[in-house]
Amino acid sequence: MELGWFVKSRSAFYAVLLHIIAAALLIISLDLAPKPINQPKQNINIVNAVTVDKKQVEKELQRLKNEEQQKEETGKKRLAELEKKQKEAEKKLAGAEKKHLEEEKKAADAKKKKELEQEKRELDEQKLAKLEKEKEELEQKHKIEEENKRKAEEEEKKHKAEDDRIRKEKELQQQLAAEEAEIQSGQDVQLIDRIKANIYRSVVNNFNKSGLPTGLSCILRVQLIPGGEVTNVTLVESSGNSVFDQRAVTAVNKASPLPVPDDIETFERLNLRQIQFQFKPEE
Amino acid sequence: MHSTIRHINQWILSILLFLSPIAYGADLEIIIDKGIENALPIAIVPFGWSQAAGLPPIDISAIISNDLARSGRFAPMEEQDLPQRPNDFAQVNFKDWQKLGMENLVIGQLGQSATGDYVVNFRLLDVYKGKQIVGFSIPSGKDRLRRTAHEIADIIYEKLIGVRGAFATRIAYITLIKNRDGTKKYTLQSADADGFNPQILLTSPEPLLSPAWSPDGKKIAYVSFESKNSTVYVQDVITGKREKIASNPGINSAPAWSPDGSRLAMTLSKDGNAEIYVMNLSSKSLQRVTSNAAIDTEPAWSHNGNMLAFTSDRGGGPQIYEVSASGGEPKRLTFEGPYNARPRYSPDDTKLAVIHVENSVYRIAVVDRKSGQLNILTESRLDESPSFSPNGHMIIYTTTGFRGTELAATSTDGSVHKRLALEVGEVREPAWGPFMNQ
Amino acid sequence: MNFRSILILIFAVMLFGCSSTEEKKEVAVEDQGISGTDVQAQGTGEDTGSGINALDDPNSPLSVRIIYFEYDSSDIRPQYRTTVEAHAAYLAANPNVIVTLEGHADERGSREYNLALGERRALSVKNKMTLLGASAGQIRTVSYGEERPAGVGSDESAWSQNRRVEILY
Repeated sequence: MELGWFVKSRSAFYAVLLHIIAAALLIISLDLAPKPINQPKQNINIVNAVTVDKKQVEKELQRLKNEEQQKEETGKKRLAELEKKQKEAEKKLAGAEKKHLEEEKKAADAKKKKELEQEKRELDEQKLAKLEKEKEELEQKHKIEEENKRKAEEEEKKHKAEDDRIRKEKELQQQLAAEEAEIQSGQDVQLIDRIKANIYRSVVNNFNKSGLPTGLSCILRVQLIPGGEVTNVTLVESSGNSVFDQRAVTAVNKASPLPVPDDIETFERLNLRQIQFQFKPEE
Repeated sequence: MHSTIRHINQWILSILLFLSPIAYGADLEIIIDKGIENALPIAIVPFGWSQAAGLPPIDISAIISNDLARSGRFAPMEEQDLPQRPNDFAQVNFKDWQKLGMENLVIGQLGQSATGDYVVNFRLLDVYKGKQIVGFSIPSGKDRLRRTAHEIADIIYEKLIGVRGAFATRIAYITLIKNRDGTKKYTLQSADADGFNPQILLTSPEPLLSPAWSPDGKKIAYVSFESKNSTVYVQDVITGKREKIASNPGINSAPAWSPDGSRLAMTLSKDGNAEIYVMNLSSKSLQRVTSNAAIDTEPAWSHNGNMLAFTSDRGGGPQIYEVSASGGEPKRLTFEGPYNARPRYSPDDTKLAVIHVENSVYRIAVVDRKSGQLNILTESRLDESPSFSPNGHMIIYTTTGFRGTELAATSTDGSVHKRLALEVGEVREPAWGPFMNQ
Repeated sequence: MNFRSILILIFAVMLFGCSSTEEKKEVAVEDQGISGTDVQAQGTGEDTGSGINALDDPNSPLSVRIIYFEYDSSDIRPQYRTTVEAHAAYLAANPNVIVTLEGHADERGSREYNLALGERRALSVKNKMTLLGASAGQIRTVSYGEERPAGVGSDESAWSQNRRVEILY
């Protein structure tokens, strides 16, 4: 959850950053471009820039394109008019015999016009090319930015997915371990309960409380070796009645070997080398 | 909120799972809340005898063994089952005894010096620890050897049961022998607690009853009909000298000593009806304790000296009441069954042994003084005359069957019953004497 | 037990039918008879001394000398009313005669309580007799409790024989 939020905020941050860069580039390119008609003076503001988005950029580009087209069309119109005039003049020349000079003049005009047209076309073409180039550059930049952004996002996504995968795997592993431990400990708990019940029975059957006062209790610490043989009995807490304590010790000694699993590994895992007994007979 | 709780739960669970292997890293703990109530297994090896020639004057181990068996709390091993017969600690092979489940072992030697004096050495051993619990060397004499054996049994009892044994004590009782010529012979006797060494204190053709030991064990008070009416006497056990204490018209009976031995509570009907009186033995002055048209009899003196328990049928049938030894309003103690009589205080005064009747069957029961709870101890048809051992662990009483009346003993919790076969004839009214200083 | 009861019955008939002196000697031999030797001897002395013929009449209510009781009771049952009245009348008529009422109980229960119970039975008979005219000074009471049983055994037939007051002249 936290990670999700973090990732989200990080990607948002990247997005904002990219937009700022894009907007900045756009503004620069607009400034470099030939002044469009009535272009209001742009007050560059980062905060405003932030709000500039891709659509606006595209809109702007479209608008520039349209203007170019318009100019081109206007040029073509003029060219068509000139051509028309030329044709009319040519017609006039062909109609009169004395139109040799005119023809020469016409040729010179045509030549001049041609040169003029050529000149103009070249100029227009130059302009257009430049504009095209700028546009291309802008688009290219944009494209790169987009690509970078996409790559970053992709990277981010990939990263996140990896993180998720690792985390999930970890969780799964933990869960598995826990389950395994639970199963093991569950089995051990059952096993221990069984061992305890067996030892309890064995000691109870040897604990002779005949003639002892009621309400007494003592604690013994008993050392075992694998196989269950009692090697040492320590009185940890006396009942205050030496006969009671003695009967308890005898009960453990008489019950030796205590019924523990034959398997040494289990004996050690369950830590059966030391057992504490509390002798506390009910009425 | 809910998810938070779930998270915490998961968190706790994971901690628990994490901790669980450590949980059984600690000691296994087992609570032994039950046990068995069996006679303690013990082996008493026949004592060695210093004189190579001849047999020892008495079999000390047999006396000890019988004492312990009679208490019901020990199960001595049969002599033929003994795996070895050591007389010294060094000779003992503990493993052999462990294999047989013997928890304790008694070994010893009887020695006789050149002057004829005896000395008894004994050791009580813990078989599973392979250690001596106690050991003594007791000087004795030929007439004292049985007593020395009882004293050893007392020490073993105290070490293994936790309460002073009452084997080296005496009991008093009445016997009745019916002669072939139709006459009867009553005797007042005292004997060792195992019935040996009986000593006749009084013989009479007329009934004798209600023997009561003085607290120091030197005197016995009793009732004799020798003068054709019940009469209370106090007799010195050693000298046989006796004193007539009460011989009024009507009943003179049921003597009970105060714990300091200075006074005797009795039942007298000299004033027309059976009532409890207390006599100062040195001044012979009498103080009447009860005053009721019903029967008031069988006083027992509490060991703290404050109270008298007695039988009264003021409520219709006989029941146990208790009154301050200086008099006052008696308080009824028994409410179970139509008939409860003849109270005797336990040495710690917490209980009263009584005769309890249910469905016309007479049994020995113990009544808790505080709660009034009644616990029936015996199972015959006609059991009477309960008397506590001075350690409070046993009650001696009589049981009447087709063979007549004989002595029996039960543990105070009713778990053990033993018949005590004594001599011929009927044995009545056993009274267990006090501890005697060694 | 029935056999014993019959014996006792026969014995009682013999007692009532014959002279007391001879029969009581036999009682002594019987051991578990109605009363013991010593008490018997004492009674004999008084009886012979007084020499009252009415006491020897087997047809007189005075020939009944034992009153039996219920368990743990000292109430005189109706069938013994004539017996008690007859003895009371006899004592009233013979102020020099002294009688001993001997109270007994069966073996069950405590000896001391039974001693008191035997006394209460004897006193119960004494009170009735004094109410009917006998002088208290003529009547002596003694209790033997369960110590002198008339019937031997541990059954109801023996016990019922033992819960009694004996009237001894």
